[in-house]
Amino acid sequence: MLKLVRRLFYWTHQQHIENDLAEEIEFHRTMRQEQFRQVGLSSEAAAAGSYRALGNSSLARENARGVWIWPWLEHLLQDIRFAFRLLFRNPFFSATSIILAATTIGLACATFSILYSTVLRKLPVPNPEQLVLVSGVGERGREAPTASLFDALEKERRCIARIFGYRGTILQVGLGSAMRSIPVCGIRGDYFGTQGAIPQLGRFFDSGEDQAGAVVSDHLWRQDLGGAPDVIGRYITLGTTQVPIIGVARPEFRGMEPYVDWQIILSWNTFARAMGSSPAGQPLEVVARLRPDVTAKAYEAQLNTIWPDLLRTTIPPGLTLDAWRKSMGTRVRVDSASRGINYLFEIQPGIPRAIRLTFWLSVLIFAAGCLTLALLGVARGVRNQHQISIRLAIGGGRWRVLRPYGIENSLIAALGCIGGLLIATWWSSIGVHFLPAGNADWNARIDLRTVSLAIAMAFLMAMVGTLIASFLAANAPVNRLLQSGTSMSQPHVGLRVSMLVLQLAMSVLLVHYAVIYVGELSRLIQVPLGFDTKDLHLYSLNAKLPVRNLDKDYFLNLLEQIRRLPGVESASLTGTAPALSYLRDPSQPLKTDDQRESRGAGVCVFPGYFNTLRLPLLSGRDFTWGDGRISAIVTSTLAKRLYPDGDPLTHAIKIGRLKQPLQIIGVVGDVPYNGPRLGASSTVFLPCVDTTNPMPSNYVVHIAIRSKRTLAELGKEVQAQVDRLGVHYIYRMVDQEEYLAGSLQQERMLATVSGLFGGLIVLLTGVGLFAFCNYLLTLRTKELAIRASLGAGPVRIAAALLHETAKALAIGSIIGIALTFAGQRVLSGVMEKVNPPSASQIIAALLIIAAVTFGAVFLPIIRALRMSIVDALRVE
Amino acid sequence: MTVSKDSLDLLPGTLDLLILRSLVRGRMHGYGIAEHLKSVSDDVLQVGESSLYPALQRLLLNGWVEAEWGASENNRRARYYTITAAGRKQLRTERDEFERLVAAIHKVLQTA
Repeated sequence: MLKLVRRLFYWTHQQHIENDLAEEIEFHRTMRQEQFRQVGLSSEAAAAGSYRALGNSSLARENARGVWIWPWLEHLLQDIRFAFRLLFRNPFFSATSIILAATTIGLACATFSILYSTVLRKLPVPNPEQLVLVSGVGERGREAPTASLFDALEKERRCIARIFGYRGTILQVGLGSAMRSIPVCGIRGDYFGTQGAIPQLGRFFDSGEDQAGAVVSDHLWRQDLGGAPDVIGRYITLGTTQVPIIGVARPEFRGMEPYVDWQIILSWNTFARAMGSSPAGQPLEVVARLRPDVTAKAYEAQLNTIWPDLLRTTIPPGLTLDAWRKSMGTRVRVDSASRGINYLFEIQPGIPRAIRLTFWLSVLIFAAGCLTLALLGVARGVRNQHQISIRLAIGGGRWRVLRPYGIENSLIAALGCIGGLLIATWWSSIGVHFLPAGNADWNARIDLRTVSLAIAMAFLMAMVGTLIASFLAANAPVNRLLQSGTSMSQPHVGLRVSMLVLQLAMSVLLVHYAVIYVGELSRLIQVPLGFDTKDLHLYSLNAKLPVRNLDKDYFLNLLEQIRRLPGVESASLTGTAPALSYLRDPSQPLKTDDQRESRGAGVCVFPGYFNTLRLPLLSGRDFTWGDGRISAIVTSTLAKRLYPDGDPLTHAIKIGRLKQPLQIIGVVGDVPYNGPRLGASSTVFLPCVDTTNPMPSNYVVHIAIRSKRTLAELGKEVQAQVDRLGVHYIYRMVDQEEYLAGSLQQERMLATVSGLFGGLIVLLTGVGLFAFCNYLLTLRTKELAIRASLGAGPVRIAAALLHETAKALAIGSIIGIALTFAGQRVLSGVMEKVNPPSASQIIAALLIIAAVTFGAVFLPIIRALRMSIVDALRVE
Repeated sequence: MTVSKDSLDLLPGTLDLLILRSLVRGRMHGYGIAEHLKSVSDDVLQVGESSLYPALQRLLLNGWVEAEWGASENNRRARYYTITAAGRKQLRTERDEFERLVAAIHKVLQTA
């Protein structure tokens, strides 16, 4: 420790100590000189002798300094100083490399962060890898077991330590005097214990407990209940039932679905009562915690052996075993639930399109960015080739000679790494807004993995640059370089042209992908709703208890009462609210009478619904009450998918489990479901009540009303009409225009940001290209000036260079466009269709590239031609 | 280490030992140490400046000697070195080690 303190003291007093040493050595020499004089030598001879006897005093001083400062550290500091000089020799070129590295690293890290937090991150519970999701494998894919089947599964404990089931929905909940639509879930089994949760206040449900009670989330407790410490024992209202609060969850508890933050957790019976349904028949997601020594496969195998018996003992009333088996499936599937249950990913298979789009385009842009950086590395290697070769030729050790250049590359990479992390932090915080609304905490912060990734990439870039420099130096013909009278910094013509062509191709590719990226995101963000949201109100109804079976007269009566209200232009009804509701089963099998197959969702509507929404009827006609249950209307996307060239109106279609084929009587415009962000889906509209008759009152229905009156005014009157009938209550009422405008605010912001991001890519590409071309031409300054001084006309020189550049530009553009289309095909193969760049986009991109290239070439030409021969010969 | 035709190579690390031993007699400047080593070894050990001064810096770094400026015998400004308590302890250790090494080498030479 003291040694280190002494070293530090030396560092801070280095000059003083070195002066002392020099004085000391000089004293030594004068004493020796004195000694020589005493033995009879003349003053001059004594002085000369003393110097001879002293030997190399510089070496003595250097060795003495080496005691205090580790030689490797001193060399390293020298190399760093040298690397900084190299860096500042061409600051524009260095800055371009750093910015390009930062953008490349930033983009890759941001994409990784978003993917990690959305797809790869495990649930924040103890041993998440032990959690598994249990489902039946039915005709339609994964089937959630019913509560009675869950009870049977709960008894099979050989492979599992704990098990629970849950089901969630949005309910109208009374908190104090206010009613609110809140995500609520009902649980069966050991919900909290399996997830290792501890209450913040009160208690959780014990395993198997089914007392009436509610556990509220930390968010709800703080936001809606004022964070009151005496909240335990207070009541919340569900429909007509009062439920006591028994506990408050901790803030970090999020449940099994990363997209949904359940605000109230109810015991199963309480939940079923609130839903107005039988507790035993409701499906629920079943999650089990495996014993430490058991695998998911082993549990699946065990369940499959007992599955037929489980089905036999749990047949719901009114079903045959065959029908039950068909419904729940003949076997069981056990999947890992360590990353939670991605319910939304099931609705929209795969991760949301925006993430995939960003990911694949990021990969491409990252690859192109790396290639550009490699080319810039080659340019730096070319610049240093002369120096390195000479230093190696006069005996410098390879490692010692190459080290400063390696440090220069490392400095660029390190600065790029810091910039990249800043960009990644900014971009990933924006990127999470692409994710569907209603999610819990995406928390896409930059974590240690991302930092490691950035450092690894920076290191790789530094290594690539150094290796290129090393390769060029090792292969440099030193003798020829020394014999040639021209600038030795000038790269070989073939190499120069190849580098330029490659850089141009990369630039064309990058600009095109920036255009594609912005175009695709804008398309995604535009969210064409397909219907007119102006003056459109939507009222969502759920049942009051007891649940009743309703027929069309009930709904016709209700709608008629509403239509009579002042200011109501039209009113209709649907089972699924456009843009707002999530389709439970968006991918049901569809089959036409001529055996064409597709997948889509079924949505039930009343006659007049399309008119109320102002959703255009493209062909055919609307439903009428006389159609019965045999008619269907399809969206234009589905119609085109089934009959690209033909007329769907002459055909019938079967959907899901409906046995009866439905005659297609009309085609309407596309309308989005599953939130406004996920775009239009293939939808078959069916007539409500005709398809489900009688219709239980606990089937959620939505009344669409077109009126110029405000929601506040009209809402009260609609509420009164609904209350008068005493069957339903309104759990949500929204003005569609205001609601969607609010929920799409992020999209508007993102459109601006993605535009900026695309512009940034184009700008960086332009700057990179400009720096590269400019640098290559700057290396030829001496040559150009000499040619000019020898009598070559400036026009001729400029024409020759511009011709050379134009050829490279033509070849580079062709390669770049080919790569763009090839990449677009790959992208389209990997994900959904990505539009290729249009002719105007290609021309615009080429014009940008050409302007940048000629601009970059023109400036050094002007500079070189204006230079005197004397100045030109001085150019390094 | 400057080597005359009659001088010998020192074993590595021996110079530090010899300097510390010389300083036991009292404080000395660099030239004085070199002269002392030369005279007590009958001109066999001639320590060059390129070895002497890095060795003195090494001893300073380790805290085995201390340095201060003073006036020399001919009234010049000279830097004098003094052995510290840690230096004396180090001297004892190194001396024991060295004697064991020499004895071992001697034994090998006797039996070979």
